[in-house]
Amino acid sequence: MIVSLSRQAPVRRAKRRGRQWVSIIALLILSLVYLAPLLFAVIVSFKSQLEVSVSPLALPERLQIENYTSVFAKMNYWRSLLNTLGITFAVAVCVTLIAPLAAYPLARISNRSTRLIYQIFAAGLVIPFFAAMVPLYGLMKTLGLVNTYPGVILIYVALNLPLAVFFYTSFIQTVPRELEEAAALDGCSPLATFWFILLPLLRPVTGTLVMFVAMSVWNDFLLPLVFLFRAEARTIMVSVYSFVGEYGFDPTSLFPAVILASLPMLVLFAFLSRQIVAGITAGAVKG
Amino acid sequence: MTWKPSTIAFFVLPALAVYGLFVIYPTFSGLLLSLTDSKGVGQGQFIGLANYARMLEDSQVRTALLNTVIYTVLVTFFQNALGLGLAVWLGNMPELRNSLRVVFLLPSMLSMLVVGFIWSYLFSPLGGPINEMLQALGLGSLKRVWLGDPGIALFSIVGVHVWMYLGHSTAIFLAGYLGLPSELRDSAAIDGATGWVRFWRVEWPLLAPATTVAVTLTLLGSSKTFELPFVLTRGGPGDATMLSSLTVFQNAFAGERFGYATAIALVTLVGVVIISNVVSSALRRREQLI
Amino acid sequence: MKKALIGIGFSVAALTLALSNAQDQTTLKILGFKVGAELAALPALNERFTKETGIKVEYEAISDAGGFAEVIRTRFAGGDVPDVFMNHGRDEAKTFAPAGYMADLSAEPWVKTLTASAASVAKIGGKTYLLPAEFVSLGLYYNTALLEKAGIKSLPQTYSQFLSALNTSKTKGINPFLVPGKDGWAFVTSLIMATELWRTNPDLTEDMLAGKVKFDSTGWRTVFTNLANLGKRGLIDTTLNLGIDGSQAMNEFKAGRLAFLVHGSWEVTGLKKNFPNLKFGFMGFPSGPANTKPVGIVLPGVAWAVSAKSKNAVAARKYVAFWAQEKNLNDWLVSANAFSPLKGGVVPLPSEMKPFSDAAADDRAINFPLADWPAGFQDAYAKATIEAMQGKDIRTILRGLDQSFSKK
Repeated sequence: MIVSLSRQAPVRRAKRRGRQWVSIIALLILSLVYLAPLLFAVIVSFKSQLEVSVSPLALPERLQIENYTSVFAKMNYWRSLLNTLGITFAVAVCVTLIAPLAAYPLARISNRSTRLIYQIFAAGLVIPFFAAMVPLYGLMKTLGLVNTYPGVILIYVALNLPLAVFFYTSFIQTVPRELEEAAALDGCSPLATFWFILLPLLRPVTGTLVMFVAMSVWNDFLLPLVFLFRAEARTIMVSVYSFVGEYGFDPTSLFPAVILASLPMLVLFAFLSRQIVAGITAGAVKG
Repeated sequence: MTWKPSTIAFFVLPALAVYGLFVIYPTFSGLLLSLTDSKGVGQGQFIGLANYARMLEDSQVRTALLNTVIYTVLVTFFQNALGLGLAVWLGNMPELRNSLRVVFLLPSMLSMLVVGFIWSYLFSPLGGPINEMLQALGLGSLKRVWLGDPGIALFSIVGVHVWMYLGHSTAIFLAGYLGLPSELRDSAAIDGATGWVRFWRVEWPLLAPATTVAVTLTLLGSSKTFELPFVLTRGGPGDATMLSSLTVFQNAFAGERFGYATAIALVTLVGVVIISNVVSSALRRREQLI
Repeated sequence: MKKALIGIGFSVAALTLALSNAQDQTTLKILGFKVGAELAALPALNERFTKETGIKVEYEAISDAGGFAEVIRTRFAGGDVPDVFMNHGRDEAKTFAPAGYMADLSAEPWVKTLTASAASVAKIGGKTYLLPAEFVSLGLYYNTALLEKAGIKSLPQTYSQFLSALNTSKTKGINPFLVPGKDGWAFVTSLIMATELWRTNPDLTEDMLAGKVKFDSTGWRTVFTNLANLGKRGLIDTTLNLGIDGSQAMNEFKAGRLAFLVHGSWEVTGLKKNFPNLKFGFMGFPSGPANTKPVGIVLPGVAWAVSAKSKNAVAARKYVAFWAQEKNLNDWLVSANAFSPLKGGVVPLPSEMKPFSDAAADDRAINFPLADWPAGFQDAYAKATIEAMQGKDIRTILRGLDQSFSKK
């Protein structure tokens, strides 16, 4: 009995290793299939109109670099990029400053008013934006904020607050209270406790949130289209949608634009992927 | 720690002020439009609850609400079921775990409209890559008119949505899975035969917090989907893929019935808030049982 | 004395106006939905306008898919108006003019130069608010090479000839026809199949608005039955057609794999430029019985309007007047292959469009009825055509249409 078991062990291990290899190959194939749609978009972006119509699956005979160069110029790429970066940065700073401040009491105190406030913020996760668009425009006009960077930044901050408050609240709930209580015994005010004890702990969530905010600002186009329409203030997605015409779109100009516009986000993603994962998974594990 | 009401106010006010001024206030004054016959231009007349009464006999709105429920349920189920499976798989593959997690998150970095444009090209029944690929692989019988067949179109869009956000659910479940005590995972991996039973009995209940987060986020995200059907089908064929957000949009801008559109938006909003509250509190209660 | 004073007052005012004009150059803000290649001659025309008048022009392009409808409504509601803006025919004007957003242009000298149909497009409630800058056309594209291959010697003139052309192509293994249903081209196809109704009753639109003619009538029943029969007889694959949009169908035509397609004249330029090997033509639609000829549809495309609240009203009117001059307008019309809204205006059209322009010259072109149908009715009509293609009961569909037609 004992002998046979020990004889089987290497066999089982080999089997396991074999299965592991099958598993690895299967996963690699799966991820290739998963990314295939994006690869197709990249391939199409280098084709000529004729090739797109006549031979949809074939690789381009010659890389149509001019698809990119012409789009690059029409988009006013660098300026749009700079505009979008600036707005994104400002929104991220504001959100990561005021959202944890609000989330702190919401996470620590449970009474009728804090619950209500939390619910009001949570409702923001589902509000369809354009129901508010026409009145919002009137408000912005009154405040003199139409066609200004601060105007768009404020709206983005407001729109991102629900998710941020939701994030921070659920994260703070997983942070043990002991530290804060010790600080309170030492005579720390809530603000001091927040600043010196809690905020450093929130750093990972903040990293993630920044990524989320960046994504939502970067990929949006309706808001800047409506509230920031000076030609020189255009954001990058607004530039992309100028390639969708009245009668459909031409993939040989839209796809290069899309790729150029998404590239900075993908680069950022490559560097910050750990933060993103951490953020998406916030609250998935009980602290 | 003692929290004075004034302290709470000090903490909450900045966020509440910005949010109240730029989201809540315009939303509410927008919703007042639902009591008028506003066309979005000029002044509307007050017409009481007529818009709400009209909704009851509008078959498109009924279809849209039903489709939204189906869509949300399907996306929530498939995105999380597949995400869970993939997470457990990746969880047992330490070599590939981190890089593939990033691969599966990639599509969610793009804008939904962009994803819509890419898939509308892929889905094309006239030489679109999906059908051509199936043909090339000898699976010609599986070729479909993905967006034109009323029996399939909604599922095609569900598929795109799941494709886009599968990485989110995977990442959430993976984090939960990796957070489990490691002895548990090791034994589960070794015990091939009893693995499934074990998974459902032991590990699945322990993934409750991850499930709550994943399901709640998917529910909220999918219930307000607009861009995908807008680009892919515009609600068609017929009303087969008409979602609530889309009928709101069409009424507001194409039909110039702004007041009516906000009424539909409000009804949808209330429904989503109620359902997501029920679901997430049920899931929270389940967490307490661990 | 008084008169003299007033006279001096006027000349002083005129002088200061002239001076201020010279000092700070006016910049006109123009909002339009034409982007990219669709801009055609517009940038060149704007340059010419600036050269002639010294007025600068800033054209902002927001495509329809890019949110033109949302932007223009929020801007007008908020008071951030462009000086001049594009309309889709009279679609916007129908709500914008009654809301007081548009300047009354009735007194402009060019109003008298408009053709009767252009003048009727331009008017809302008896006043002229628009300069229709073009009439684009909807017709039937045909692939000459494929028709030859199928042995079709002459272009179909009647509906039964059209059906037999489809049949012949199909038996020769050629995809005969597409009715793209994803984004509204099916209803365009159904409307062009209905041109027969307007040929026999030119006042059909008015009669329908007055409730004298219903959808549930012999004429419309025939149209919808014809549409449904295309699928039933296997001339088109209904499901496939519901899954494609106009540009995908056009792509098939571009690739030389499609014999016939209903589409707009604006595609002609791009087809000739990017697909030089494609031999094609553009004609009216053979919708009638024996001994009739094909009928096309013309519709107002771009139409210019001036904002009521424009701060540069004089310059804005000047801009519109500039477009109304034949030498300027024709540059645009040529680039868009469109018909002129001006009396006696002749635009050289490419030879591919000859069958269509012959039909138009022969008075065989009707106005796009949708422009006059009630706002929001388009959706209901588009859905009805899809339902007919799907094989739902025609009478039920048409009764439903009558209901929503009268409700709007």
